[in-house]
Amino acid sequence: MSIIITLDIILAKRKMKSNQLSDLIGITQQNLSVLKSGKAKAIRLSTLESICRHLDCQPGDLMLYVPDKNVDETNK
Amino acid sequence: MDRIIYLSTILARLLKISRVIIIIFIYSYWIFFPAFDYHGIAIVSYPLESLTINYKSIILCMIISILPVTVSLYGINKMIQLVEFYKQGIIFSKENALIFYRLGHALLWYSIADCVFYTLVSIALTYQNPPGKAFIEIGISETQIICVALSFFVAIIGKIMLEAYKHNEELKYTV
Repeated sequence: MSIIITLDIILAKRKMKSNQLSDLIGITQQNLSVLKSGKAKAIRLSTLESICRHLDCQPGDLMLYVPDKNVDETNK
Repeated sequence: MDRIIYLSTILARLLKISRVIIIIFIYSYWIFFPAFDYHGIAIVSYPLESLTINYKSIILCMIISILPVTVSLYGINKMIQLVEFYKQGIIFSKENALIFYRLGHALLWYSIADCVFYTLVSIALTYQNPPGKAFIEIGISETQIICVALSFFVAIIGKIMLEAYKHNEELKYTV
């Protein structure tokens, strides 16, 4: 997948735990896990808006585009 | 769910029994040919006096029967696989959809195998006849046409189930 979710980094910067964020934005912890682990295939704009509102960030802060051949290098 | 498991168990048993019955019936038919015909159970419908029935023609017919029997057993095995999934509570999955798709193909192959079977059996039972008395049956019966039509329907249903599964997976991973 070429889009890498950097939610973990933002959560660490805001000193917030995943379960706190999931309670705030109204999705289950499993769904948030799916997003954090990069398994998500789509994200609703309403969910994205809610995350940005509660973490005080921009959508671009939450994801990073890496062309396919560079994904393994970035993950290292 | 219990009812699904109960019905699936019965169906699995019936399908497994039918596998054995098909093999026993087909090969008993040829071993005792034309005894079954005298009792109204016929695979071939040619007048018996026009056939040369000896060990060579019977062995050839038994070998030729491998074709439709193999396809039938493949179809029954796929149905058993499907029913085993139902027994485990797996009702809508990618594997189930693929099985339906393959069952559609099996029905198509069965109608082709059936057509080829009758052609080859007509040759096997008459090639030893005197000159001018041998014949070849080439044709398509209503059973084969119905099989082909059914195969398309079943394959399309399988394809729809596969697309529905992919759509469901997308939704499952939509946050």
